[in-house]
Amino acid sequence: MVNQQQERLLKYVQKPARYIGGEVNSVVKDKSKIKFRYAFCFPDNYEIGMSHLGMKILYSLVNEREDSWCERVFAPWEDMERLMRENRVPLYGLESGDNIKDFDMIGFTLQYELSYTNVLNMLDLAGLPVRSADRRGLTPLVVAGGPCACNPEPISEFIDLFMLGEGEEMTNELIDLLLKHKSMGSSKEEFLKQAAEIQGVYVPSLYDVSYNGDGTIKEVTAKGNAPKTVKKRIISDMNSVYYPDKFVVPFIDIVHDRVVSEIFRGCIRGCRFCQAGFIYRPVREKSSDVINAQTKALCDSTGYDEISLCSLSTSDYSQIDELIPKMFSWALERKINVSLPSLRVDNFSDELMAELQKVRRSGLTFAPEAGTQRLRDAINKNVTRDEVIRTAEKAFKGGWTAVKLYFMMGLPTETLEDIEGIADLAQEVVNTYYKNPDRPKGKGVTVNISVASFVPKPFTPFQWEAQDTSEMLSDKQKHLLQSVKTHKIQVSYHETPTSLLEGVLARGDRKLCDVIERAWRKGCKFDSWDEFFDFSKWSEAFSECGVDPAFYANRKRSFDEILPWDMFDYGIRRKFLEEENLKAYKSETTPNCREKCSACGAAKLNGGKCDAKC
Amino acid sequence: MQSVRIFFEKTGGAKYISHLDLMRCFSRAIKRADIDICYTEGYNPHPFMTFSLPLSLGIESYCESVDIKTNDDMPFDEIERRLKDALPDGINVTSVAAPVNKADKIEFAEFDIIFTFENPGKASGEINDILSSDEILAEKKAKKGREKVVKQINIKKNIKSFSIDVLNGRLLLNTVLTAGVKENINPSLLIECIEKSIKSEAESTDIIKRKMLLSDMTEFK
Repeated sequence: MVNQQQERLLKYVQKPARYIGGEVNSVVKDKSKIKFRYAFCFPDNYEIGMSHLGMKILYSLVNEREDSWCERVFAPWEDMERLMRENRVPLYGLESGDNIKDFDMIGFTLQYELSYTNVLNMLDLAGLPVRSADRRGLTPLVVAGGPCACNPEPISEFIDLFMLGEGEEMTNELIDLLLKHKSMGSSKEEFLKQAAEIQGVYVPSLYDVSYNGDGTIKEVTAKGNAPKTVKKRIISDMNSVYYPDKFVVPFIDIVHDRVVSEIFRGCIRGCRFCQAGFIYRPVREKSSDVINAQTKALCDSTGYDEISLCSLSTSDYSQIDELIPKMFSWALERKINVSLPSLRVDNFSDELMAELQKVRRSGLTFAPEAGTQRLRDAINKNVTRDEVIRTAEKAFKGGWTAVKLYFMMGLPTETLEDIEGIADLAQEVVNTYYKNPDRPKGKGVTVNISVASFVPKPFTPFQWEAQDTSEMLSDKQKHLLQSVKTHKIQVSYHETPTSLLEGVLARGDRKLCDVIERAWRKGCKFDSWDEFFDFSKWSEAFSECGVDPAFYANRKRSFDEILPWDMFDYGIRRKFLEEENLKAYKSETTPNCREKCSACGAAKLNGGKCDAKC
Repeated sequence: MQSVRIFFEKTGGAKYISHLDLMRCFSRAIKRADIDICYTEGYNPHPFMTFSLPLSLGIESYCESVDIKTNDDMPFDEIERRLKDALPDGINVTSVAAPVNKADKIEFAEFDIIFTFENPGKASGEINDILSSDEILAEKKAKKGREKVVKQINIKKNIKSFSIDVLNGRLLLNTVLTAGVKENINPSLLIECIEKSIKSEAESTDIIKRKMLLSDMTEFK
């Protein structure tokens, strides 16, 4: 709901429906009956933020409370921001149109490092100082969570507290505590000391970090009663945890415009490059009946004609063969399409393939991640060449004429031979197509290979590794293009300076706070968007702050260095990660968690329970 | 199977929903309302739904219509009740009935254009002069092959009638413009043309579509 002053601006912007609120299922409450107002912010544009499942869950969860009202806030696009600044219209919640500066809590979800400058920009647009220390009052309290909160140090001076792990229970505990302190008239400091006692809450101002002469961390000391290590929160029982029965249905087309049904958390795979594969452990599944009922309710309340199952690896869901027929039994007659992202090539069954052909056919995507078996073993992507080819065969027999293959470059232990392997594997897939006698007449095949640049992330076995420099990556990209011999193979890859910055921020420490603020003051925002990313401004910011990005991105760490995120307990034992790192150099694989438990340590977060164990 | 014509208003924030988004919005509302709509045949079936005339972004309207076909004979008042619950604020169903006229019979549309000027009295005279002259030149963006060109067109023939009033310091221009498949004209074109000629930009302009009319000036039903 926008006011007149805000509405005046909408005539002059692209996609004004981004800024009007009022969508079906958006929640409007009577302000006079509300004790707690929460602005849930996604630091990117409407289309991206509205696609995020975590926001949908927490939005509905908070709005279930009678005393609280949660609103959505996204980063306004450049045209709208300019008008807002020119006309002194501050950042507002989409449900009420009220300035979020007057809310009790402002929460950011940190899904990728390149959104950090948008966090600062949004605080500034709201009329708030960007630094935590400059915001003296108890409210608005500025909090953040999401995967990047596993190393929040680079933005620790802007955020009052971080929520580590899953938010369903923590959010409510935090709201209760803040309400209590608000009525007691506590200071921000008094509240933060208490908040630090909630499991999963990290209050950066309660920790001092000292450094060695070489810039590495010497010591982290907790002040007062703050816990020495902060343990992430998890939800123990996925069948009873809150899941929304309504999604806000946007007017404009968003990235994921469909019902999203979460089927399990965690991953059994242990690919060594993948942060999500470790930080969301242990594996916890929902039962197929619970998923089926939740999905149906969402279809009824939204009117969507597409369902997407959400997890890190859909085909690893142990009840997938029961779930799909259950859903198809009502979805097909209602002309609702079911899509299964994150399928792995190695367990793509004939039955599943047949089921998938009942609904509209979308593209097929496989992720072998590396070009040679040696490197796939090193990164523990347990997929063989034969499996890739077999799946391609099945796909082509099923009528597909285009497949997409995902790879990474810049992986630890990688050589030019591994790069050539990418082209070779793609070529073999092309050849497989022409070996199929039943292929459609007169129709060629397209194999798209998408090559991402590897960025080492915290809480993975590669957290100590040096990231390839931009020069190294450019050379490898050139080599790949030269190795591809046919136009049937299309290559796309990421711009390298973006990956460098992502790498710096992912494994950064508190010294980066100054750099981020400076880059933002120079005008950096929407850094994940090619049209906005300005590496020269970032380079200036680094050199003006006397910070060398290579120290964070391109330096190999030793096992005995204190890492900025060592004070957080994500369940995974550090020793386990070290062992996995050493195995990578020997190209030794680790079996997936269903074949054999590797005792990573995550199960202890859930009283020893893990659904990956047979 | 029955044909159903749904008349609705599109006001407030809903005026910022584009035509394409409006189609999606209706097809979801119909699904939520559990109305048994007919689907098109073919590889990629979609609900059978036709809007009489697309409405430009930013214009409010009290006379939009969309035709659907249902597989059953759900009574019109039941369809109306269900859709009212399912549609978002700002999109308000006013009536549901069997179609009377074909959509291609629409020839005119009546608009209220409300300007806020510093001096509405002065502007009123100027606008009257412009609209009374024989030639009203507007600039229309067009495409010539791949090239984008600006075409000058005389929109005099598109203005069927007009009247001007000054009310509470605002200027109200009520006008009937050609509309429909043959000679459709976007009222924004007229506004641009006015603002250019009187050399003053309105502080704000609101456009409200009041009626869709047939050749004999009776309302489209």
